Amino acid sequence: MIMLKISELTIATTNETLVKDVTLSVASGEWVALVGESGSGKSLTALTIGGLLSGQVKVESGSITFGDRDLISMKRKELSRLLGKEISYVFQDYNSAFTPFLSVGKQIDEVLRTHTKWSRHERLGIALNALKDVKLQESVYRSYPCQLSGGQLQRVAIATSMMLSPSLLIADEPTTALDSITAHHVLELLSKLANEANCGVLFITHDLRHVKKYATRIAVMKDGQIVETGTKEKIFTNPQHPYTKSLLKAIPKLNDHRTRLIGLEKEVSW
Amino acid sequence: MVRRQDANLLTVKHVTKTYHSDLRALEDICFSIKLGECVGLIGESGSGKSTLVRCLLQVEQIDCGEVLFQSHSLHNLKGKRLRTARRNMQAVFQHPDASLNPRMKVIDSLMEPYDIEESITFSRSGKMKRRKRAIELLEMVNLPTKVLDSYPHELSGGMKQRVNIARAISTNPALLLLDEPTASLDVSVQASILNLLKDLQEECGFSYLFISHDLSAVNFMSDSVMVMKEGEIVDAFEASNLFGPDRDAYTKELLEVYEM
Ligand SMILES: Nc1ncnc2c1ncn2[C@@H]1O[C@H](COP(=O)(O)OP(=O)(O)OP(=O)(O)O)[C@@H](O)[C@H]1O
Ligand SMILES: Nc1ncnc2c1ncn2[C@@H]1O[C@H](COP(=O)(O)OP(=O)(O)OP(=O)(O)O)[C@@H](O)[C@H]1O
Ligand SMILES: [Mg+2]
Ligand SMILES: [Mg+2]
Repeated sequence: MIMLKISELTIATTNETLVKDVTLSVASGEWVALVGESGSGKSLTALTIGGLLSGQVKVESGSITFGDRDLISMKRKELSRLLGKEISYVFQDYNSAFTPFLSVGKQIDEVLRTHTKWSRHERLGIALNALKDVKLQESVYRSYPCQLSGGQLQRVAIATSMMLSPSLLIADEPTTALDSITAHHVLELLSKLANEANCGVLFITHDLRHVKKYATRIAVMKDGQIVETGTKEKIFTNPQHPYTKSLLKAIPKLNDHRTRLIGLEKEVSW
Repeated sequence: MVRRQDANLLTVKHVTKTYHSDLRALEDICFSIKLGECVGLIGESGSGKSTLVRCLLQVEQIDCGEVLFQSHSLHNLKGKRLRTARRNMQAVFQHPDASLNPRMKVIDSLMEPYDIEESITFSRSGKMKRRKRAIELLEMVNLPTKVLDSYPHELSGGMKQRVNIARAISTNPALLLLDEPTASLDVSVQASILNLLKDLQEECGFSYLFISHDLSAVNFMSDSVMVMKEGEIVDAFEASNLFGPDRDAYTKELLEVYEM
């Protein structure tokens, strides 16, 4: 069942089009990887789903539906009831997603209080469990964001995002601050939780190893547009667009000893 | 600039750092970085890598131990000496917003170290020279000129990281502390940035402390590698021995999972 459907989405400021005619869908239980050039509009596309664009950036045309509800015309209040519960985010900028002067625990509890009628005691149990799941100690609950390492904070964000079994998870570069072992653990967990809840995942990443392991479908973005979509098998074995091909070619390997890495041909960048 | 080839640029001796009296973030850290060398630092999330960077920069006080940079102890430096030391040691922080003032245009955050260095005059020619240098720096990291007059929130994650890298190299520092500098870059932009860093190392003798969870990037960049876990360096080796039999069990596990 298609859960999220983005159709011909165009996002622009007053003088520039940033995302153009993006069409993308995520079905229940599906893991869609959105990959592509830095600055190509992946995060903007993701933010638009939850009505989180800010400042001068606006949706110019297109539609986004979640189930049978239209998200673009949805009232703020209704949308905020969805966010954090049915649709949850792990932001690329996980650091700014936290308020600096509130403890991590207070911020997790706030999410639980907003969306559930659970008692204090129940909420604490859920929160501590969620932290434990991402290999964080209980003491993290009482810490302030500035007292945590990059990867610890990123794991708090991941734990929070899955606490209420969302039906759509939007994870924007969720493992950039994690070592390979912790990243593996966290992605396995996400994959397990997503499976249990039949949750759809929109997974934005530059890490093609993770894409290869977890994605069911892949969309490749460049210059504000999706240049290619397909099943993982198709994209990895038979990429069509030159940009996709060069991305795959540039995946670095541990066991080769080059003096320089393979970059992009010049005409492709800017 | 003449840089002697054998001397240590940075020597770290028995550095220990404790947070609120019970959390040992760094435990007896010892290592050195030679001129023109790249030392890779990998390890568990929360093991003390970023803390180490802050201690080297003297942003965070160490409990005991010693940090020698260009043969001077960094602890009691003041005035001009401190400024010179700072100028020669630049950092790219893990969090890309750390060096970007949200209320300042990108050009002003980008050129901050340069401005201090050149004590620029805001004459017309001074301004033009500064802008020209800023454009050069952006070109080095594959960013378009229009970024200069943007504000940080108008940039994507990877664009901010690239501004930070450009900022850090702007004054030709002897040592760059790079904390996850390419974490949000697509593979092709990452390749061009890492190639650039290699060029700077070879042509200008830059030295690096290169922190990353991306083992291929570390392997490509580094001459030697250190592995941290729970505040300690648990393994250290020449990069060519990454797959050597005498690797620590934790290093082996990091590699194994990465390659899966
Ligand atoms: N508030 C804004 N005002 C103006 N331009 C913006 C704004 N936010 C983003 N942009 C521009 O929109 C483009 C897409 O940004 P976006 O953050 O979606 O990229 P991305 O694909 O997520 O990149 P990365 O992989 O580097 O995170 C960039 O060129 C960026 O400069
Ligand atoms: N200001 C602080 N106050 C108290 N504890 C802190 C502070 N900063 C860091 N810590 C703790 O010190 C330890 C090391 O943190 P650090 O940020 O150095 O780790 P890291 O190796 O950089 O991790 P990551 O790879 O996740 O970024 C962590 O347990 C962290 O919670
Ligand atoms: Mg982004
Ligand atoms: Mg860190």
